[in-house]
Amino acid sequence: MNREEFDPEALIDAVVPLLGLTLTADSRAQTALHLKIAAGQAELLLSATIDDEAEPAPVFRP
Amino acid sequence: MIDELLDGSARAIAQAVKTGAASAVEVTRAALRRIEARNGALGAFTDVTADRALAAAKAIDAARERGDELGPLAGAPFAVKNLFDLAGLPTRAGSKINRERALAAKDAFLVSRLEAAGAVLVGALNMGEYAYDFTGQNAHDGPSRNPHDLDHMSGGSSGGSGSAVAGGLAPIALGSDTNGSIRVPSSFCGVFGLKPTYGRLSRGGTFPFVASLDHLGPFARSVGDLALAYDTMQGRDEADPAQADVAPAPVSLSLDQGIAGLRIAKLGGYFSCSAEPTAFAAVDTVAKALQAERVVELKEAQRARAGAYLITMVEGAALHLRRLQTRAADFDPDVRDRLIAGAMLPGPWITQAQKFRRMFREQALALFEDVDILLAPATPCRAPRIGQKTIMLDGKEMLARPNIGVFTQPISFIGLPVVAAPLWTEGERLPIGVQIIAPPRREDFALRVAWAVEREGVARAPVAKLEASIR
Repeated sequence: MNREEFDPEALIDAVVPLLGLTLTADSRAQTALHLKIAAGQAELLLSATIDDEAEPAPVFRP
Repeated sequence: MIDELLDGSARAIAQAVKTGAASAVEVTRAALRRIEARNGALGAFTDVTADRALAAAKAIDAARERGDELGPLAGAPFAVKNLFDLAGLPTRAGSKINRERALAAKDAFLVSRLEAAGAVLVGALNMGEYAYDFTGQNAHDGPSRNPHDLDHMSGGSSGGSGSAVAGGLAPIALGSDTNGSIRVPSSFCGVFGLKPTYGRLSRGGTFPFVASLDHLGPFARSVGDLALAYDTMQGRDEADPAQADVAPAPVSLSLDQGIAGLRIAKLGGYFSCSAEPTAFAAVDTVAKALQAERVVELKEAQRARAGAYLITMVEGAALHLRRLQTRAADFDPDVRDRLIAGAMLPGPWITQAQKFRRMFREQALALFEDVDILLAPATPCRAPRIGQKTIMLDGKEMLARPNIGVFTQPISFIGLPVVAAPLWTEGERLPIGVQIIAPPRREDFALRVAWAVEREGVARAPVAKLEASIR
């Protein structure tokens, strides 16, 4: 991840039509802020070493 | 006498009803009068089920007249966060949108369990919109307030639950906890709260938030009530696919074993940074009372919190996407924009978070081979003022909303059972909580330790001293 180059506005522009959302100016600014915070959390998470064989946490029980 | 009963425990109320010292109708009427007198100031209740409560109380008194055996909570008032289905009410889940839903056809599973034990439902409680909140504020219903200082937060998202129990409106309340929403209001309002093991209590008949992380549990002013409510609510319910298929394991009769045989340690590392000194002092006080000198580390807690944070955003967004598309203006903006951002996050992040969750769980289980109870702060500070946006942690100004749950999120991420126990410092009006964390399915360990700390007088949950005008 290159968080410095991450542009939340560009992401919003790209996916708003895909998601069928309409954002007000206020909502857009706050969404961009939350995307930046999430990117920070993801950077930390993605830096963990996780084996290819690792299974996700179990919930579903057939 | 009735007022003293309402300030006491649910068990004492049940005993009084069973012996005929008080009738269930007398207790219920008094509880309803209290709610009417105090709720305007506290904002704890959004619905009061007076007719239903009085009908239930009359049935209990009639059963006693007939000589029937009464349940362990006979006549004890209780209330539930308004994400629990209550027959005849819309399950609003703190939202404006949901109150247009069809009325619930039947009660949530846990409500039915408490009523079967004789408890009397008196209403539904305020909460942060769709449970995405740590403050107890609500854009549609107003804030639930901290009974110990009305200018301060109750904590969220089960803010009404904390406020109702601390304010003496009900001895038992139910809430939900996805990232800390039982433990945070317990800490801020000064009551005991139990977040059981993930999958232990059925979530059947409640409005969800994050299926991977949602838990339900009780609040009370004593550990005995907390344990009794928990025991009462256990049982298999096919309506919750995440519920573990394990036999009920009652804990009430084990409380007086106290800490005998338990290995107790404080959590260091992540859990000893980024909080006000009072949060660590509270942990030290509990540790000292328990003669627990060891400090252990649960490594990777910061990553665990990151995983919980991202899973919450994405699963919450998936749940609400249709409403975000069609009713965006009807959301609380603080909730809406986090959900919208969640809808935009890359899928691999969430799979990574779920894989990391399993790894973190294995680390915790390894730690529990050497220790039975972990102690950690519940919140990094006492209840902030309502509307306060930032808190000071380690000399740095931090956003309040995302950081109030900094110590609760890593623990619920892997579903460990926790009792939040409230501590008080002389000269301070507001309490602060300590998490008593146990291995999976060992609620008995956490409750035994909480019981010991309560018996020593270290943790306690008094009814708030409200101003005369709102008593």
